[in-house]
Amino acid sequence: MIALKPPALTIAFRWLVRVVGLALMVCALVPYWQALRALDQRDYVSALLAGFVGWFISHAGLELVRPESAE
Amino acid sequence: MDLRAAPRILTPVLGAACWIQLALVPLLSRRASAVPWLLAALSLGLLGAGARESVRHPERSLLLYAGVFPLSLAACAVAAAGAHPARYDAPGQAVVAATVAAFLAASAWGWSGSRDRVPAVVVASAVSEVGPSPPPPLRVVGVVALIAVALTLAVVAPLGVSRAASVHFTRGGAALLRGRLALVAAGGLSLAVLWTFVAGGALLRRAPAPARSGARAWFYLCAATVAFAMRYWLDHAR
Repeated sequence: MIALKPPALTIAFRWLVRVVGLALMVCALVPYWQALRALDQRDYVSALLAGFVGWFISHAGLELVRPESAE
Repeated sequence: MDLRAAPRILTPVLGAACWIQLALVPLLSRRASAVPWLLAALSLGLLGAGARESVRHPERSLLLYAGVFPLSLAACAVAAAGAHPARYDAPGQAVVAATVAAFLAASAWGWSGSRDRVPAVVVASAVSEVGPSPPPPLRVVGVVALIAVALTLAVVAPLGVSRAASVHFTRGGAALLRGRLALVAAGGLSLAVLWTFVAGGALLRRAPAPARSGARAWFYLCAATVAFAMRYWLDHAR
């Protein structure tokens, strides 16, 4: 059975989702940097929460970059 | 002894040890009122419910062990503390940290690879040459990372409520001690537990990585928004 190729719009949308995911992973560097700065100022709770923000954003980006089907 | 049954025994035992250190000891040392005792009984009941569900519904049990039980324990600790948060000296902190780390590791061990039991009919078929899937190559790294994160959180959290450590905090930290401890501690603790399990689960999972899930991405973004709101509120409480 020959696999059907999805329409061009669907392919473009999937690539757009991947670009958004990549952008989220890059943007996650900002809260990580803020976490390091807060640690430097001994603001431990603020650093911990900034680390959480960075981690969740980077994993949201990672989720969007995944392939459509399981390997 | 079947090693698969070990986490089902270890997890409630270690959870009870956490309950004794974080709930019972402050309650007995402080002559607390009825509400903290009720919260302590509730958290103990949740631990027992998690143990009971661990056989038939491992995912429900994980939610109870890693989500609801720590939250109720935090609520009990805050209610028992009142105006004077409990202080742990260095050996006490080390014991609490080790107990919490062991409890989290045992919960993760019991959850990884387990599935809900459903009725099934087994039909004899040809013998398969394919053996069980090998353990993930980074399993040791995952276990070490899980224990390191849990230890870090278990040590930072008592430091956060320690009155002696408040002199090193900004006014945001002092606001934390003044009474908003309950909300931030409960929210931060649930985020910490979620972070630990999801981060460790990726390395401990035997199956290949799942496909993209938009719902999971939205969940992460919502969690990031909540964490950002908590940090923004804390930083501007000065």
